[in-house]
Amino acid sequence: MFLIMKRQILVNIREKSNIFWTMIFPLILATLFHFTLGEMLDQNGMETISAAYVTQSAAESAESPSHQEKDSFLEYLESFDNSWLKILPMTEKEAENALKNDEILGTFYGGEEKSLTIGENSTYTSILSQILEIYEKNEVLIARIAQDHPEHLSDAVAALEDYKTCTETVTFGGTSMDSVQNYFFALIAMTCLYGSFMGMYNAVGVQANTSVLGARLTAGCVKRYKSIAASLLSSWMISFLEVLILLFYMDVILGDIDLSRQILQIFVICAAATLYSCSLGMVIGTVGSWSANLKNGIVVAVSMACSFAADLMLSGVKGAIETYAPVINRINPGALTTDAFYSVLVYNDTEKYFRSLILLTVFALLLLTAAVLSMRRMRYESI
Amino acid sequence: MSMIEIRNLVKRYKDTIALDHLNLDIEEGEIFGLLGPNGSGKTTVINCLLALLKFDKGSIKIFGEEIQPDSYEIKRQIGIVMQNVAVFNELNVYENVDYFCGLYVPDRRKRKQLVEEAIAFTGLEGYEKKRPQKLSGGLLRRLNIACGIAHRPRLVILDEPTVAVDPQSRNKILEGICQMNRQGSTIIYTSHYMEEVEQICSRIAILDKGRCLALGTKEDLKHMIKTGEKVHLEGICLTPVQLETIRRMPQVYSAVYENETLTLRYEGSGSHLLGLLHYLEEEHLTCGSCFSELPTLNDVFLEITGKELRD
Repeated sequence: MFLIMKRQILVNIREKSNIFWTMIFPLILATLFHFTLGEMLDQNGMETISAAYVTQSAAESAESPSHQEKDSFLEYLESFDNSWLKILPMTEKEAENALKNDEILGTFYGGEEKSLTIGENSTYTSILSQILEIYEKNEVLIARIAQDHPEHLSDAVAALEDYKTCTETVTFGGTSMDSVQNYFFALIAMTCLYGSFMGMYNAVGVQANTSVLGARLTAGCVKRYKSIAASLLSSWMISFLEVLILLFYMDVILGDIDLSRQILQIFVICAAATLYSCSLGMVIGTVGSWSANLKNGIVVAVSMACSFAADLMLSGVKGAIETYAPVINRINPGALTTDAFYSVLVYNDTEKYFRSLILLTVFALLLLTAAVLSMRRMRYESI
Repeated sequence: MSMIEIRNLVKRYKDTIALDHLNLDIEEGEIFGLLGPNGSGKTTVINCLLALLKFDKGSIKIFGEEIQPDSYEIKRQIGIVMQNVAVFNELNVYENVDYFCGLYVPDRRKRKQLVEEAIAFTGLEGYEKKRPQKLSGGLLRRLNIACGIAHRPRLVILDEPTVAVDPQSRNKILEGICQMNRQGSTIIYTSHYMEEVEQICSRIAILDKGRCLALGTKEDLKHMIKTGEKVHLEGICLTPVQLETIRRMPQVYSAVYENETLTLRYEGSGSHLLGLLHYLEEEHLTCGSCFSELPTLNDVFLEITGKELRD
């Protein structure tokens, strides 16, 4: 079996048009996306905002009646998502130096008179101002309620907490919130889908009724399950490797996506997506005794349709499908892959990630079963 | 017991009968020729033998056992050379032979020796690193054969291996087949080239429309037909009376006169050329050339089916 796999991998790698379309073409697209959409991504994207929190001196702190408040202000600042607001406790001197050296974008000062010092030309100054403003408004509000209606204080605090919950980012059933980022995810999904070409060609290559090589292999003494397994594994391995190359290129070379934090989850979803695609290709490869060229056309049509529905060519298609026919997004490997990428890299939505992963795996196994059942047929009506 | 026993084999493709109650016995050590025009059922027989095709009726035994798709031990002893070249264009000559040999021989050292022998046997030395696209038609066919026989099978099935091959490569291939046979392999050879079959096969089955019309050695087959000798006279001008006289000569059963060429067929044995030339001398007739030949398999086929083998 390993001999068949080894040769199959060698054959797939040496097939120039195959490698061009499944590996080089996505790399070219990634490069084009980088130069055309990358700028938009920079504008849309949000860097982590670093800000200092200047603590009062120990003596001042001990005497100060607002010493408890200082902690709650710091607690408030630290309650924001670390991925976009990073609070660094510093001394005043350290904060000044850090601001001067552009290591931070602003400095929050605690104590009775809370204040904010911001650097020049900072795009994010309004965000930092808003943060302080909200805290002060709420502080005043709570103080007034405590004075006028102390019995409603707990309700007021609960209402404020509710407000915070309501303003959290919420995903809406797969609708992309960042269309630019989604182009990159859709490109990765498309590359995963291209595994279907390998799956199709390798399936055609082991069947007597679709290729002379398949006839020679079937007439030989290699057990059927071995040739099928070798066919699947070789196509899966190559397509997965191609996706890894694309991810490396987009992350390390172009820097359009950042996989450093969830690399394992990304690898798992890519493995599932490529398995789904290879299985899909194998099913197409086993249906009928049409020529490899015709089957190639079918695979092109299917993979392009799936990529289109996953927003590769036009933003908003996946959202529209989600509104009118959500089931399509649940079976489209392209949509499932982009959803999973979004869940991991944008929202940290594990529920949606696992839903996508499970759906990809289940469909991959279903298609694989169908392909194997069809391919294990040993005698043909005609060749 | 025969090495291969085919009994009452029937294969239909919808309304077409590809094999019509075919019976064949192939003995160990022979070169068995399946001769027939295109569409006569030769390749269908091969595909049934290899358990690739479903058939409607009958049975096939190889080495005394019914062949099934999972008869891997039987298949291990069979080498197949397909009608269409079945090699990987992405692999070079050596890699192709090594791959197909590796399907049968897992031991790497033994395989290396077998691959080198197969390459030498088919005259592909010096082409080991070349990809199939870089090979001529003849060399490609030789590669196709090397891939099929590298594992030294007991039974070799060659399905029209010389189609579109230059005469030099064809001779090389035919010599190789005879050599394989001398080394102990039983050969099944299908072709619609009667000269090849006549040259190398020890027994021949003539197929047409899925039926076996005749079976035996080439001598047996030639004795089965009326034609004993054929005489051709080219560049001769005959009057109708002279033509009629020739037609009435003893043992002449067919005289065709077209474009100043006379073709005579005689029944039974013996040579009739001298008698004919004597008559021409009496009539003061001259001809550009004349020659006599014994019946060929094409004559056998023509007489049995009423049509040329290459129709």
